[in-house]
Amino acid sequence: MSAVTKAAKPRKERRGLTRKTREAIAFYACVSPWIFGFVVFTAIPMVASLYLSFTDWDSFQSPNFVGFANYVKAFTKDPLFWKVLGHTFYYACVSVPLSLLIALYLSNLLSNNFRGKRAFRTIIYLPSLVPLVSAGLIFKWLLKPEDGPINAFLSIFGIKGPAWLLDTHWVIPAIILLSLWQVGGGTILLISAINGVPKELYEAAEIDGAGHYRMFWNITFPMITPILFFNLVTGIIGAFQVFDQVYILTEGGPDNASQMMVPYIYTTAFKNFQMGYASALAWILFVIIMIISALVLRSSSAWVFYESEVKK
Amino acid sequence: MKSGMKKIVTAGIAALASMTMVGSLAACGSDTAASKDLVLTIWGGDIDKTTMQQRLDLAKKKYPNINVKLQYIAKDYDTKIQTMFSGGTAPDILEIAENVNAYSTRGQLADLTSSFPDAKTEFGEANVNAYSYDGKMYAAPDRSAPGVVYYNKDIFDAAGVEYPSENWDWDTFLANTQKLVKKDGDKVTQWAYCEGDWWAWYMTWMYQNGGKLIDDNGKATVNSEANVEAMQFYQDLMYKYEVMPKPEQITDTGADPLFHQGKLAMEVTGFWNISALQDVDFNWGIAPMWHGKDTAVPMFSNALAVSSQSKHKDDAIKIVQFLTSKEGQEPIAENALDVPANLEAAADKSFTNAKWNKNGLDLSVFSKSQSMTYAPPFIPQWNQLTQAISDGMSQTWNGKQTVKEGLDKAQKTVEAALSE
Repeated sequence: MSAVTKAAKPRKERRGLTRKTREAIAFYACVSPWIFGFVVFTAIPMVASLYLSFTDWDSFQSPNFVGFANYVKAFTKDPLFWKVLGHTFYYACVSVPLSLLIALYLSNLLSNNFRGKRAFRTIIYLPSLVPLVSAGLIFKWLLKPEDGPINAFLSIFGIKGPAWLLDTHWVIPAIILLSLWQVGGGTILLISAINGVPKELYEAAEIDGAGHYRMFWNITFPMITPILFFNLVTGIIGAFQVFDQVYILTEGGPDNASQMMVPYIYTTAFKNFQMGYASALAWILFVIIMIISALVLRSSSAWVFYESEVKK
Repeated sequence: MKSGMKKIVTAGIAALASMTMVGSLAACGSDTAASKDLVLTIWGGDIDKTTMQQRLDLAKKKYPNINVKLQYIAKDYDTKIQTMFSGGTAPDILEIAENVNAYSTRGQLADLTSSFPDAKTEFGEANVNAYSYDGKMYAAPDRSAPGVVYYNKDIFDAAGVEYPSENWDWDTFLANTQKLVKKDGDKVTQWAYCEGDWWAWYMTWMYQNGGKLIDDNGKATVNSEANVEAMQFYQDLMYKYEVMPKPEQITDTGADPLFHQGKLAMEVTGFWNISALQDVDFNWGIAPMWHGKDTAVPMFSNALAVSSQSKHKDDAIKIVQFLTSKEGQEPIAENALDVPANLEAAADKSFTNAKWNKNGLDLSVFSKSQSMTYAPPFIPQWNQLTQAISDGMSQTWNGKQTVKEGLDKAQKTVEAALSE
């Protein structure tokens, strides 16, 4: 709000303003919708939820202040908290690197010049356009224990496939499988990054006698690290906030074997009417994501390469 | 770099935002809904919407001065209603079911006891008890289809088994299911019985065996002997006698589709199945459910409650009284929507001789079954209770854990939830 009034006020005496001030006004005028949205839909709710996380609010009656009770409950009393947190880490630690590697591999194949590359790119990207709900239903069918296509395929090799979504050990791998299906988005970004690498670098390397393998590691890879980094950070955040996949495939079952943080927060808030505790859980998740993201950002100077920095 | 950071911040709070918006919007929403219309919220599909509108039109004839606006919430009803209540913009009248006492014990629903002095004769004892807490009634039963047995007559005739009836006990049931199952080698091609994995089904076996989940003092009795015995019987139907499919055998179908495909001899399900079965190419019928030590029939019901936030409580109660009266319930029967909760309306010709009943079904089975229903324990922690049981028992249904282990686990979780 304050940004809007600040921007509107000096408008009367516009003619006398320096160019710099005018630019500043234009800047604030342009970003004000975003700032307004951020304050109303993000900042205020965040502050409210921080406050609520110290209360016993049930979303109806007036909240009572309970100090750190909700946080203590999460770390010491709630038998599900550590289990759910563990699942979330498991999911993130497997699905993020796997989808990065697969996207990297696919983008390398698809950035080559060959007949039908557009068709292949479209096919790889297509699953990202399918709503997750439909994809989830297809996966339920694919993963059917008795006569589903995946287990039918495994049985060709004499492997008896697990009951997937009904098996406590295989349910998270099944959810990871669904998330890998949408690897196309990251792939497209990497393809454009690879195509953006200056050709003369490869030409020079070729003259120096570098093979494909060396060209990849010494040219392609360093040049696309900013995009890999972007995929990594957004991937980590997305993985820790996984919701749809769990909700559609298993609703957290069997016996909470696939329950993750965000669906658990949702259940706590809207099924168990423990809005205060849910807010505390949300803040714990927020802090975890912040710490991990900060670590990744820190590490970036060691492996992310910015061309612009060299030129300077 | 900077945009990456921004992304983190924005995305990181997305999880919070959805929840916390509830709180922050609470402050600014309270005065905006000051229109004079009463608001009534319902869930369901198109047919639910048109039927309720017809009933409201009838109400308008009786009370021309009361305007009721129907607000149909197609998706995430519970979440939206909860948000409306927190935001101070609760509907005046709302459709409600299992969550009734999560709301009533938090002071969100008006006490309807004195407005319905004859509730127990009007709706039956079980239905009134389900929507009461500490002796006060917080919602008036509106629709209540008891679970009935749907059976495939062709399969029964071929196997030479008498049609199901309320006279069957568990022994008869078990003996008959074994005659109704058909196998091709190892693979079962025709199942005897199947049911859903919703609370109404497993709970019915417990209640038929004299079990309860919450005793009269409000203590959890999830792993009582009666419940263990009932669930063992249920488990044996799958793993010992193999007359009912195991979860892994019906992951993508469930009982209703199996029955529709003619691969299932009988199932227990609600009123909705009738319209779904109009086009099948086999003969079928309905019957009241069998009994165990006790008679117990599940009830798929919902009710109408008045919000304590309402500024027009008296008018709202008048409307609820009308909607749950015989007259106000008639469109439910005429549109083949459901079984009216008003016993008089359910026993009335407008329901039992309804025009849509082309198959000549004995619809009195429903009103007969209504008198056999039990009141499920709609405690304030109902969601935790049912979640604890489905969590605790899922590995039992998958055959990886004994019945006792599953119920013990659930008992522990429920005890913790009740003590909070």
